[in-house]
Amino acid sequence: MTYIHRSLARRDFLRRASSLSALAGTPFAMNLLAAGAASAQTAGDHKALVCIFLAGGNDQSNTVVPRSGGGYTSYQQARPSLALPAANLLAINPTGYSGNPLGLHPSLSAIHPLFNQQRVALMSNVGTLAAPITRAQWNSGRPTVAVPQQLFSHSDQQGAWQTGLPDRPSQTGWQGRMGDLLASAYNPGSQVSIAMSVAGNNLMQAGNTTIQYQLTTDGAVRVAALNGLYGSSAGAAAVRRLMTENRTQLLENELNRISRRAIDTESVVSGALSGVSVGTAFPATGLGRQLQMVARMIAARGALGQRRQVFFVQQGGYDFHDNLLTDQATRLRELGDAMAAFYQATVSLGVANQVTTFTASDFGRALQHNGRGSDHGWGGHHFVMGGAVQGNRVFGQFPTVALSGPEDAGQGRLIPTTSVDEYAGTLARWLGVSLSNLPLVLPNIGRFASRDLGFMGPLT
Amino acid sequence: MFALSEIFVVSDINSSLTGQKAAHASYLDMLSRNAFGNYRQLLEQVATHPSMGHYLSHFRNQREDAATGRLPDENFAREVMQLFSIGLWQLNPDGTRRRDASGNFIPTYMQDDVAGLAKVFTGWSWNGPDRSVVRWNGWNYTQNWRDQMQNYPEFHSLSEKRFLGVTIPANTSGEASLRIALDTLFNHPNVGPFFGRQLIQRFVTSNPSPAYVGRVAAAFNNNGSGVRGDMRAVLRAVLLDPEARDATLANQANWGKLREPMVRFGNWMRAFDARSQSGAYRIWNLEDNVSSLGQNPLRAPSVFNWFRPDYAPPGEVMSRSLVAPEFQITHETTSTGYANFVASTVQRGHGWNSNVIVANYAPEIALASNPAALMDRLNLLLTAGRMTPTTRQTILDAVNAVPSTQPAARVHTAVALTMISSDFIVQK
Repeated sequence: MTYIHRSLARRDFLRRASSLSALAGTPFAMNLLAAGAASAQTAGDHKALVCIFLAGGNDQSNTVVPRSGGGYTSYQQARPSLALPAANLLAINPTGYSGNPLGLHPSLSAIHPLFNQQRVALMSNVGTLAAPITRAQWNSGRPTVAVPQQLFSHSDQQGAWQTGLPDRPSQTGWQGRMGDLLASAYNPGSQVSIAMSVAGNNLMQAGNTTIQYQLTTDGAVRVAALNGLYGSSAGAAAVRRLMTENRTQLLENELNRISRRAIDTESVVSGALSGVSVGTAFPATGLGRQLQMVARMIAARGALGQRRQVFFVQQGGYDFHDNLLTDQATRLRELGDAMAAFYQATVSLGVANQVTTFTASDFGRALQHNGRGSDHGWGGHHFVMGGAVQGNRVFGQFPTVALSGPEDAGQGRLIPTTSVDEYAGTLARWLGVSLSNLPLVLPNIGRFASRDLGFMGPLT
Repeated sequence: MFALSEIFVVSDINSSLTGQKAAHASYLDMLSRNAFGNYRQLLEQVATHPSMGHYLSHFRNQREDAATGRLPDENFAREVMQLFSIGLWQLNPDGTRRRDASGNFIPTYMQDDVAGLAKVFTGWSWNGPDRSVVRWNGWNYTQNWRDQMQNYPEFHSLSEKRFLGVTIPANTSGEASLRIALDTLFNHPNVGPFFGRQLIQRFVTSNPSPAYVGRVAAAFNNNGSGVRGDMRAVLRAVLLDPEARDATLANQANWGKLREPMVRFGNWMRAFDARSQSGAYRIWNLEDNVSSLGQNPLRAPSVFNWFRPDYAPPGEVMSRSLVAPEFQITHETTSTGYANFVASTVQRGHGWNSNVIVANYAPEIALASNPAALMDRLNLLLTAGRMTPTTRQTILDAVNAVPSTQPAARVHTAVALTMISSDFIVQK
């Protein structure tokens, strides 16, 4: 991944913030306060946003497929060795959609009914863009329109999806910058970060002031020796001191800062979790366990003092260069089953309308096949799930599934027709970021047409 | 070998290598054989090893086929450039990025180069005395994890192959194409600084100066006898560089690197001659982050390893424009899980029953009645003589609180606290 010196990123952030403030005629800090005050009034107001990152680059062409007619024929011709049988696809009939009839991958049977029940929407052909770009512009050799740096590279495109800044290095991600804006307004006094991950450190939740908090699928980890090292309280005191004291050496100090935060937060999180139970059964898969943990943290929101929560979970194994048919069937089964269980958990917790889950991935994949799988692509399809979602609908432009189609960047790699900025912006607006603050979260949003793609319904 | 396994990554996770013990053993043997050889040979053995073939899917990768629209799998072609040889951006000899006339960084390759190089990595499958379809497919017990893959002309692309400004003419064999391709990568000016910087990060410090990288790259380019890619010369340059030996530098606040969890465990085994009573070293999955290391050999989440060379944790490291790759897997759960792992392992060893790997603390127990001498020894074994006085005093106080009638408990306390201390975890 490419990273920028944090102070540069911060300077950039502050510069943008101050230019916005100048427009508004108020200091930046006042703007933040106002943003908080304006949207934080409703008592009992709570919202959570959950990112499921599909690491490796999901193959969109077999996730949502034209299920009949000429659409299916051209799909089948483009990837004869990979095409799913039309009869196996799970038919969807999205409201207001008049293109080729579509079907979901058969492994998505658990979220198929949720789609039909308007709890899941499809965001089609979304991807990293530095600016809108047409196929003609892309094909002009050296594009005259800026494109994301290092397209088709896993690390760079994961980074671009997570930072929302595909045309330049960034050390912060859009969820982290969202946290910077919302945390103090919505979660004053909370001892736990607004940005929580059950999948390790990620760029998406790195903020300028927001530091993501890491959980295991069992919750927070207690250092057992703090209760006594081999039965010795003097040993326990030494453990605490060694792990938490300030150090002059930079890396030692950083390490102890992390350990200190871990130890301080553990009792808060463990305490909050001990008071909640989530009755819904989750699949015993990696993703199932991660989402179960998310559900428990949502259930504990009161004890945690959090009215806004941003979660990150991850499912690996989406780099389908080979064994695409078998591997994708396994991954999407795990994905759909875990998502459906999570949705049911939010229903049983009474928060279904307050929790929105969305998928993201490194990139989509080429439509053209390599015999056993597909290679790195660009735009892809994603799902948004929740009670507040305008489900059973297709957002964006569903692409032409054929080689040399109007969105083809070569080998059936999709030129995105919706940018990550627009996708993320709609989610950020729903969570509580004001229209005027949106450029602080997504600095490139002004290059794109939409601040609201509509999948979250009317936004205030 | 371990450092190489974190650059030329194969993994049991989300891969067709899952559970293939013979594959992993053979791959590590191959890295060991080449660790002190030549990078060119290492790169070829990596590229043609059946484990890498499976992991990055060029194993049984077939030439393009116009009738079905099939293209060669691009996986290995991309990652061999991005991760194993030249990297994404053109570099100066000191590892800094080159800029074009407009001041922009310059990509090393484009998608067309990936597609062209992908044709080279077609037609490779199991080694054996024949090139039958049976062996190509690995039927009838013809799977052979020990030997390098061989090329099957029937499945190799014979069309023209263009990449990185090189054109391999049509009808060139798989072996000859591979030779040209790997020579092209090997001779690219990026390899020395790209590979050299990563070796410095694995062995010495996270933030080497450009001059240090430049000296290692120079050793890569020429070992002094006109040989390029001499791994001995490269490793010598990494370990014996003035910057690596300068105690003044090592005392600076931003010097050093975080020891990754697996290495900390290995350091413990080595320092205390830890052995399994049965002779079998059954080290099970160490990834659990509640009571284990959150890291495991040969089980990285992807070919991008456990951490990236340019990862910087948010905070002071990032604000100083520095990197600290190992911090990518250092957070609330792994820092505390590690402390639990240490407390348990130091006292009880690792593993179960007759396979438990236990330390031989006899030399330390002999010093238990003299805690200062015990700390001197641990300072030598674990912290390279660089333990700070405050840490030493903190541990001494805890050791002295254990009755002298319990020498083993004193040693366990001293070892565990030393390994939990940031003095040990950060290698200077």
